[in-house]
Amino acid sequence: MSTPITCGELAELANSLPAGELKDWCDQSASGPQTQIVFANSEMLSRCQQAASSSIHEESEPKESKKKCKVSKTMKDTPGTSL
Amino acid sequence: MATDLERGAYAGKETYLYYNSATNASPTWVEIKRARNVQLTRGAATSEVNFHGSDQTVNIHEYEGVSGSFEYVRKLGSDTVYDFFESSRDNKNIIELIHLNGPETVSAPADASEGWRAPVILGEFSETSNGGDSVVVTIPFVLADAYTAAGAQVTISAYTGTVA
Repeated sequence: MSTPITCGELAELANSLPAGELKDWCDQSASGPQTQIVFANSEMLSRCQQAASSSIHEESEPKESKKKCKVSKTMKDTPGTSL
Repeated sequence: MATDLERGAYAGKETYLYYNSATNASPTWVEIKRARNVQLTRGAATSEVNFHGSDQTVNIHEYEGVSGSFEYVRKLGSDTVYDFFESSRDNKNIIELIHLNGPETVSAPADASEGWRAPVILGEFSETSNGGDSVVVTIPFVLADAYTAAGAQVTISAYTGTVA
């Protein structure tokens, strides 16, 4: 099975992936002009898209956890100050 | 109109030639739009045998061969497709080609395109620049001795395109 996609879209996908097999595949597949349509392996493409979306989640998660830490610190500090 | 009748023959210009820009396991097919006159020779050659007890010259099969060529109409300016072939020739890389009787991906309810897929190596390019004719390169190819990393032999096979 293959899915039509442009080299430009594949290059964008490659940029959002961490170094590894999937990024290499995207980079190889995207060798052509931005508007050139290529027929990419569907399974591989969906794996790359999933990996790209999960890597975006991973980037945003640490920020949230940092915030949570700050809140818990304040909570601890407050009772200490009152004593 | 006889809607229940279909065309039989198809023209060379209706066929599609692609190369694989990614991997054998997870291919990405790039159309070679400027290709024409795609030729494939496939099958076993024959060898004549003569012996005293036979009045006729008889034949046996030799090894099967796969070879072919296509013409590529050169393009002024950047041409990533031709760059790929030049780089594959110079670096002596194995490449994969598919040649189909229609596009690799068709929309349902159309029938999937069919053709062949083969790992090949490129031979000597022959470029002709003549008067008012367009500049054309003939690119010959032969079946490569190709294996996957797992050790499985990859050879010419039938290929069926995708129905999206």
